[in-house]
Amino acid sequence: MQLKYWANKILGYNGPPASMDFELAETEEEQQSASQTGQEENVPASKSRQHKIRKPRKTGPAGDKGDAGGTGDAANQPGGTGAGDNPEQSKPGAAPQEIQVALETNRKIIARLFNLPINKDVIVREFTLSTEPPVPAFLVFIDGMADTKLINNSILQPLMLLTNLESGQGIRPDTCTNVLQRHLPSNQVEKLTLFKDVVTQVLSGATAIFFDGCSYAISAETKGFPFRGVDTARTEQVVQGPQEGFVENLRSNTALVRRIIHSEQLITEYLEVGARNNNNVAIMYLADLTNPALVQEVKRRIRGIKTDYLAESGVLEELIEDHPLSLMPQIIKTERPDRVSSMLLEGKVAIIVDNTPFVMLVPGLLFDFLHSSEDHYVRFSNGIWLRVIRLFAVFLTILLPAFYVAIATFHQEMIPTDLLLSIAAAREMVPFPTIVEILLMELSFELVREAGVRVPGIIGPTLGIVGTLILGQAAVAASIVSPILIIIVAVTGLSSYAIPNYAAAFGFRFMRFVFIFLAAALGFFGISSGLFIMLCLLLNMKSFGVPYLAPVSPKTASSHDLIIRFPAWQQENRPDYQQTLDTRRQPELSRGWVTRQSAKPRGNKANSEGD
Amino acid sequence: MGIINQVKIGQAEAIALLVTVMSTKLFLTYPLIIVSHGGSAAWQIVIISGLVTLVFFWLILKYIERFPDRSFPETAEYISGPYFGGLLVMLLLLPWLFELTMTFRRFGEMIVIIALPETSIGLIMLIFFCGAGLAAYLGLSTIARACHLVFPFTLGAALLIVAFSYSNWDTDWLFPIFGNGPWITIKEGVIQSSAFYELSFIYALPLVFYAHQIKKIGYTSIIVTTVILTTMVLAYLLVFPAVVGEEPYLPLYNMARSVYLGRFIQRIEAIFLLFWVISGYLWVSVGVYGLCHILKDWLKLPDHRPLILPALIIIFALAFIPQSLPDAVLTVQEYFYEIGFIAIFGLPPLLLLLAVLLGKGGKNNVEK
Amino acid sequence: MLKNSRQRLTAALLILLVLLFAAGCGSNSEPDALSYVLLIGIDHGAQNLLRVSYLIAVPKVIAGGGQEGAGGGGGEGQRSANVITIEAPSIYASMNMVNSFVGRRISLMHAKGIIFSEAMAKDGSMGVIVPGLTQFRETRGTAFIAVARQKPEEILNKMTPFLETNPAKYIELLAGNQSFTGYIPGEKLQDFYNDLKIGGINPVALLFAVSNEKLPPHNGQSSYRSEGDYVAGEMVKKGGVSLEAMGAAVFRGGKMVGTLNGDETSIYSMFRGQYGRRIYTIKDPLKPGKLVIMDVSQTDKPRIKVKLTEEGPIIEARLSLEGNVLGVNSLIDYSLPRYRPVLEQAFEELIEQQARELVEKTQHEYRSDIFGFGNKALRLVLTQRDWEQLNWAALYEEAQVSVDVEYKIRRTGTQLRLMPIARSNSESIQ
Repeated sequence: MQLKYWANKILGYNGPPASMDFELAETEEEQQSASQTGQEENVPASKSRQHKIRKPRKTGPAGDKGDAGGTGDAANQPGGTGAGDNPEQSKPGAAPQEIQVALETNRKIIARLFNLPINKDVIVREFTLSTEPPVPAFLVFIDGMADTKLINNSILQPLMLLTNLESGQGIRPDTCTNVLQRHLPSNQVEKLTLFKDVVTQVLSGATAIFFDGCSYAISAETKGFPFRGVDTARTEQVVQGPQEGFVENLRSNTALVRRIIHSEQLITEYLEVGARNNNNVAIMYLADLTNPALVQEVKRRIRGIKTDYLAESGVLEELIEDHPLSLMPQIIKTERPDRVSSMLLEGKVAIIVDNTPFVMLVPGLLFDFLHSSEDHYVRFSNGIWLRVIRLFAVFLTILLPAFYVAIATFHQEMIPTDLLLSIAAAREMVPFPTIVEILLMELSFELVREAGVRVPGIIGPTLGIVGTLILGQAAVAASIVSPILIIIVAVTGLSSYAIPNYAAAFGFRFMRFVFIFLAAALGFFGISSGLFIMLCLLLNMKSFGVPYLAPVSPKTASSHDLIIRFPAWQQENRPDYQQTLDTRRQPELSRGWVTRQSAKPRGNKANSEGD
Repeated sequence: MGIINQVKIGQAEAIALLVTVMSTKLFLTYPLIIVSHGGSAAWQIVIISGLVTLVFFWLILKYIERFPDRSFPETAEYISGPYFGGLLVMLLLLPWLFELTMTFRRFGEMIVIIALPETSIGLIMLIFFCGAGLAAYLGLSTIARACHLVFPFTLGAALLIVAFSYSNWDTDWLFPIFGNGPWITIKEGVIQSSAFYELSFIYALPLVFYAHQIKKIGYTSIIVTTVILTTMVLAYLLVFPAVVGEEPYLPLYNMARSVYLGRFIQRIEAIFLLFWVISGYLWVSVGVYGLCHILKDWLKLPDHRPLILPALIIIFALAFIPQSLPDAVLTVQEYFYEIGFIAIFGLPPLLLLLAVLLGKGGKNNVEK
Repeated sequence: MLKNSRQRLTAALLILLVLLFAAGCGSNSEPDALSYVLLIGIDHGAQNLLRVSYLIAVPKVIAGGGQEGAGGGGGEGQRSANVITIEAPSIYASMNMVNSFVGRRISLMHAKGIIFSEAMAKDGSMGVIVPGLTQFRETRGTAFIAVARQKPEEILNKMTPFLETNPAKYIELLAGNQSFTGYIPGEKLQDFYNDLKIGGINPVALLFAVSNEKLPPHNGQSSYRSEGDYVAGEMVKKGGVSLEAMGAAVFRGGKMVGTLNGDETSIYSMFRGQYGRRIYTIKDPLKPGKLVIMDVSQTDKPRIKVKLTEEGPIIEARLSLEGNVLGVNSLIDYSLPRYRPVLEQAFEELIEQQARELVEKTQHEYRSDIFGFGNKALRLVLTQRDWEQLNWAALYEEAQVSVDVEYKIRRTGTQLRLMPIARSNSESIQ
């Protein structure tokens, strides 16, 4: 098994991956007819799925709070996130897990849990409900995380001032219920019985209210921390199309998506990752579209993660992707809500990590990385041209420098004589061999790129231009590199920026170096060996059960949206490899107006037998 | 048997795989061998051998239909007992190994001639060995998909050579119409059907195909291969007269060399090397995979992967036995192509005959 | 274990890299570490077997003299290509021998042409050397092949193009002019080799000569001479490059047996289907003494039929030409249906006569089927053995060849009509 080990280490081949048992499989029939496009039969698997819509400890409308609170807790128990949630201060033996009836005890426990005298962020406000007799109470929130105005107006005010309208008869077991139902005009409230839930809630910006004589607390939604407003997408810019991008706030992000897809079938599920820091991770999918097996697998992978902290979605990406050692990304990261929604409508699953403006979409296949949402926004002929250019750019990025090295040092007979002689003349004063020359320039280009990102503010782009131009010019003037090489490196650099996905562009750029080395060592033979191995590894990859080169190999029914983007009215099917529950986007005749007798109303997109 | 579930490949991929491996020999000596036998009538040899192969395949199909659920070693042992059956498996494996070795070597020589005249062939073959080994390790579905993906490009590259060399075509080279004589043409047509010997993949590894597709896979791939081979041999004959056509080691390379599309585009043969090398890799990885897979079936192992490295080392060692390039070519020409088709296409009919005589397989097998 | 194996892996990778570079370096070479031969000249040696000349490009001059020095366009003192002549037992040996005093390795991969001396061509050594040249990996099959009337090194020395800084361009363009002059055959190395090997055709080669660069004094006795009636070295010219490529060398087997002049080479090309176009200046059929100038091109491939009879083979060749009248000295309006057939017929007869004479010459004087009639005769036999028994070389000499030329005037330059000079006494045509 040495070979396996080496292949694993050297080539990023991760062995038969751990997820080998999961396959978003075609039916056997479909596999047999690998090339026949007629097949539209899908996995009719479990049409009667039950989607448990789980929301973490947040009630819906006040009416069914009791049930909602219950499900919220139940949902969190099997997630395994509860274990070790408590901060280390709460020694299990010392403090009770459950909220006590005595208010003072609760206050002490809270003080201990939050390290109160030291921790200045946590505010405990004691007050008295103006009932008859008065009920002592206190509330806990974190300054900065909670909206103080909201607390003043919709918690303290009603509780302290308005409760006296009622003639109460002392503390009754249903005080809290009463308060909850009649005196707390907050839109999201929840009953909590465990201290660890209180801590979690308070840490995420809620306000917890404790009453004397109550064995539970009430948390009211008062999130009011500062976050960035919705801004234009920075990394994926388009000329035509929506400009807004995701922000760091999880709720805003889900809202951005929901604003585009008005469907009651769009499900947002919450999972928590991280032992030390409960990162909220949301999963979004369309219940009537996405293959349930895919959703299950996403949840299985995220739940299986044992780590203490997710810094960004990139960390989660590494934790859940199939081939972490591969150069190519297998999860689409995007900051464009429109892209996320169009992908959701293709049957993908979105994973949103709190505090990250990048949303992940799975499965991510090679061709997804070459597509941009703009392809669909421009006219279809332009869309085709954009994609062709991009595909060309991919090949240039990977192969152009390698080709130059191979031709210039191995296959000089191929170069037209005039060109060859001028290359030879240009190299007359150059002291380095071609390979050193090209590595020098490629590395300085990478340097310029990296510095351009790091240099603060407005200098960045300027530095890029100045750096490349001046460096290149000076290098030529100093006879360190030949002029033709500057062209090669510049074209390669440009092409790598034409690839819309940042991670994919990075992967391709890195591959370029591998190919340069292969070309320098073995010429075209090296390049073709590299291509073959790359091809085999790519073919062997899977992203969440879907083969990485999916619509091409294995060939599946065309969704008319691969290299050539067909006009919108011809894209009738969703990608076959997604194994969606509903395969059709639109009926065969999607433009009802082109026929005269289109009087009867056409089915909407959910109607699979549209015609 | 408690084996890791059997990989299956779909119809299009299977056809691409078989056509790729059967027509890859075009890039090596195949046109040369054919032309040296058939002269100006070489293209007829290809057609005849294609037809003969179709007949062979009909027999193979009968055999496979009789034993649909068994691998080749299982069938051989089931019909003729473990010892004679083992002998039959050896009869399949040895020519396979021989051809694999020789082709391995010839690919190495091809690269030395075309691209790296001063590099040691050992290194080139080592790299070949790594790539092919990796592909064989990744498994048949990867190889088959690679074939399916690469096939249009290799075919396109081959057709491009044909199109580019159009200005050098001369229909006179196709005459005399019967070449070295019709009898020689027919005889060689039968003998050269061993050029299709990669078809033995179908009956050696029948379980990787979906049973009801085998018929279509076989016939389609034979016909497609025959068309491709005939086209290329015909184009080769149109560019080079038969006397000259017998000479080069790499006919297609010579054809690519003769391309002259003006001052800017000439001597572009190195571009085609990209495609030839990739199909070479595919050929070798299919061969290695097949070899290891048959061995696995024979030895009743759970997985073929541990066999790859030893198999590669043996192939690597054997490939250096011929001293020189002409040896490597002529050995193949003399021994393999002359008798190879009997050894390889003779097995299924033999087994079929035995099975009929002994009354094994067939309907009673199905009922069971 | 993991750390350990990671180190081992790094070591293995490094070894692999070193191995790759150490081994790969055998085959690669920097483009500026090679010296590119543009032309090869081959002659008998005085002391050794061969005297091989190389025209080697000087890249820095070709690329414009580099950044410093030399001023504009190549510089006067520096030649863009240099000639090296060396005596050696074989061509490949001579390459190594040149590298005993030239630093950069000699490479033939950009050799655009191969020039043999007439002596080598005539005694058959050329036929021996050519197969060896095609076997070599570097040489181009598309290089032209030529015979020089003088020493090849002299020809190479005269390769000083005045338009191009790059002699390679000059050489390739010069050989490519065949398509619109028709004075030279379009024979490439690979064609020569093919023709040498098979029985149905004999090879030809380009003819090169150093021009004498002398203009004879006027003596008032100039007369019409067809533009193709020259062989390389005979033309009256001055200036430009002191070289001429005109006509062809005819071979029988590997031996040169004679030459063709420009006109004959055009006819040869017509028979081979390689004729592109050329200018013909012929005598006016209606007014002898005046001239008609036409641009003649070939419309279809020649149709050549061979029949075998008791008396020998009968060859019927049909050449289809079309033309464009460029100028008429006699002021006869050949655009008129009345006169056009006259001109067409006159030209047809001229070409037929030239063709007949040429075929006659190859049959009896050169005894060499350079037209490839034998290839057409391949269709008459069924098998290779029959063909070998046929002995075409002998049959060709007895063959009866009939040539039928079909010539159509398609257009008359930029003018539709040619009107007479509107003066009194001038003959009115209508």
